[in-house]
Amino acid sequence: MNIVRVTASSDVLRGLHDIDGLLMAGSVKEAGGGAWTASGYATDAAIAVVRDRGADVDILLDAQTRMAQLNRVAAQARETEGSAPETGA
Amino acid sequence: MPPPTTPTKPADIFAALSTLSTSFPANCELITLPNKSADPPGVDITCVRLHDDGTPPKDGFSVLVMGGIHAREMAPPDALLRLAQDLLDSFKNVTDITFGPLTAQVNQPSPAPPLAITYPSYTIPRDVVRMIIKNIDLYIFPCVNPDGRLFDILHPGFAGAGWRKNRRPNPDNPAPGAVGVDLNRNFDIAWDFARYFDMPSYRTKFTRPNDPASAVDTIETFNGFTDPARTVTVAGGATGGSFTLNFNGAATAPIAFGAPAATVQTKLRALATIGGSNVDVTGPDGGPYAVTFTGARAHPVPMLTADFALLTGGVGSNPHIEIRHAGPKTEPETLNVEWLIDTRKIRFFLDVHQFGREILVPWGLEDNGTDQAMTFLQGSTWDWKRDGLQEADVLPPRTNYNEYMPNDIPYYLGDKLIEIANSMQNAIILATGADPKAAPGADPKLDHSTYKVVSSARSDAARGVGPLSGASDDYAFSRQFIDTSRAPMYSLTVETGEDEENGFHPDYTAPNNHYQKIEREIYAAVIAYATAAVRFCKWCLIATAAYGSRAHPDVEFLRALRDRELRSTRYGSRVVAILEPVYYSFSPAVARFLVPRRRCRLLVRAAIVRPLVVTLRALAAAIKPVRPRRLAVGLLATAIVVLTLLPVAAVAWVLSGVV
Repeated sequence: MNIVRVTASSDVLRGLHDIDGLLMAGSVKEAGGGAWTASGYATDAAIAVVRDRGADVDILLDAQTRMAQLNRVAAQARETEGSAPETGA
Repeated sequence: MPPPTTPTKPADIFAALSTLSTSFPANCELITLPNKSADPPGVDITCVRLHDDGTPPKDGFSVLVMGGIHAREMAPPDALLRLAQDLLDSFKNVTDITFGPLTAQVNQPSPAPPLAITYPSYTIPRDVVRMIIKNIDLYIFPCVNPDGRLFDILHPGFAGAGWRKNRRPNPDNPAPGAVGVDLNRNFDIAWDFARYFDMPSYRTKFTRPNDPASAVDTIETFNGFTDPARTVTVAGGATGGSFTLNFNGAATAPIAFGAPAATVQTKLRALATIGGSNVDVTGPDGGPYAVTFTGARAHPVPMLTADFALLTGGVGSNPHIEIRHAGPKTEPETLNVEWLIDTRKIRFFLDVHQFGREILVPWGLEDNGTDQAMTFLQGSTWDWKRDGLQEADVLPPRTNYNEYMPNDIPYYLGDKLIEIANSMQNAIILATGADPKAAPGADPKLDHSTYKVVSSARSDAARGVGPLSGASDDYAFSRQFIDTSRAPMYSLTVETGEDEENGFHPDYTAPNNHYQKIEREIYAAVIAYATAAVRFCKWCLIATAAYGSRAHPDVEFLRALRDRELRSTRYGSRVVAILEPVYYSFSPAVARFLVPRRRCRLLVRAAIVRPLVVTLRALAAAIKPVRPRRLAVGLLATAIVVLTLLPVAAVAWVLSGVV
């Protein structure tokens, strides 16, 4: 998943929870003009749906770069853990 | 010691804590918590107490800072472990804690490249460390949820954003994503979420069905309650239609409104996920139904949910099914935190989370109010009626419920919490080298390290997240209302780091150096918090209560006498160190007794505090010319022992029968 910022009215933000592949996390901040910005994780497909619903989406970290970092951390940990690699779900 | 280049595994954190206790035996107590972690066979979980040379735990002077309760939040456990190491090093070797200059990056919206920000050196003076360790017990519990943390590290990107819960097995569904309990919804504070709030009202305002952190979904379906019984109630004034019950992904055939218990039992037993006679249902036609899992399903976490969209009728078109668990039972990791809070008489509690750059102020249960009749303790009065933040929909039998937050003498809970949170916010900014008064956009150091102080219950309302129950900070805060001898308690949560620092999983390496930046922020926040705790220990509670203000000249005189005169010599400091625990063992109770009793306050003021201050002023003036100075302070300290402690102790003894 990508790390994203979603900016929209509160009503639009509240209506995004049914989107598969979107997980809102972190805090919500006022963006001015009645808009709010919320952080979250989203797949590429979910980003398209969010935009279709009238929200602006900024990508802060793309999924590929993010997974490369996480895989590196996991590989270092497994060197001393002795567990078999597993894929994310 | 350089910062880690990758998140530290739980076993290494616990090993490091053990090493600290052997390396600093006079100042570091290793505490093995009473419960192993939830994933069999479980691991031993430890934390440390940092304290003055060889001293036993101090009741009333205890601060607990913990992290890692949510597994995927990587930075807090590492930062808290290193903070413990640095504090002990600093205290023993009488050195400052120093961070060199740092360049770190924050992500910007694509396609802009990351923004590099350079921070100057940051120093925590040795005197500040000494003041903290000398005055309080600082419990540091870096890794509350070791099973979850290890799972998250070894399973990159699991469930998209990483793993949040513990690893409590789920016998119904052993899939990796189907296990676990959200520990920060598992504390014994308003545990029965669906009963605590007016759920039909709550659901119209707050919906988060896809969020695994959902209080509603988590608590209704899978919150670690260890009794396999459930009560299923048709609520909201339904008059017809049907509903289904779901067990571990399989739904029953529709159950008609008003169905007898035998029908519900038959339809549940027909589910392959339950299997045969592993469930019994009793109760009147139409419910409430007592659903008891037996045999292979009689384990702690049978997941029963409902779909009630086809029910009809009801108040506000909100007929629904409520599924209640049998009682508040907690996970071993949660129990460990509760044990520490309760047995070590924690007075200041800080839960370090990630991410959002926020300092969250209680309550998380609801908006704050000053009506003592409205507390989580008054369950039978307010159950099913709490409005869940909004006031516009208050119609009978609902009410604009506000959780009790007193803001009176001598503790000023509401003001003090904000004051502490603001001091943490300011300390974080100062640690970056930024000018706190700079205009937005003028200094990136300020723009990317400013933490927002917000009400916990309202922090995420704009995106549809409502108030929560079962959280650690509310649990800690609530202890003072359960047991008034524990008052006051000040608890906060801090959400460190931000989305632009890779969210839950900051990069520990250059050029990003997210972790290093967040670590400085955690140090600054914790030091500011601990300093606030030390300041509390300097309050003269009885005089404050008697005068009704911390700012009265007599109260300020007493404080100055202690801090500027007595503490100016080693002998005087020792006298204070001996007197304070004695004084604080009874002064909160005396202050609580005095606050609502005006005549008693006048009496104490006129008969004890005022004469004491006059006498001490005269004594201080008379002794001032005496040399050497340590002799003068010694005489003064001795006089204070006689003049202060004995009369106050006598009053406390007299009042002890009625407090």
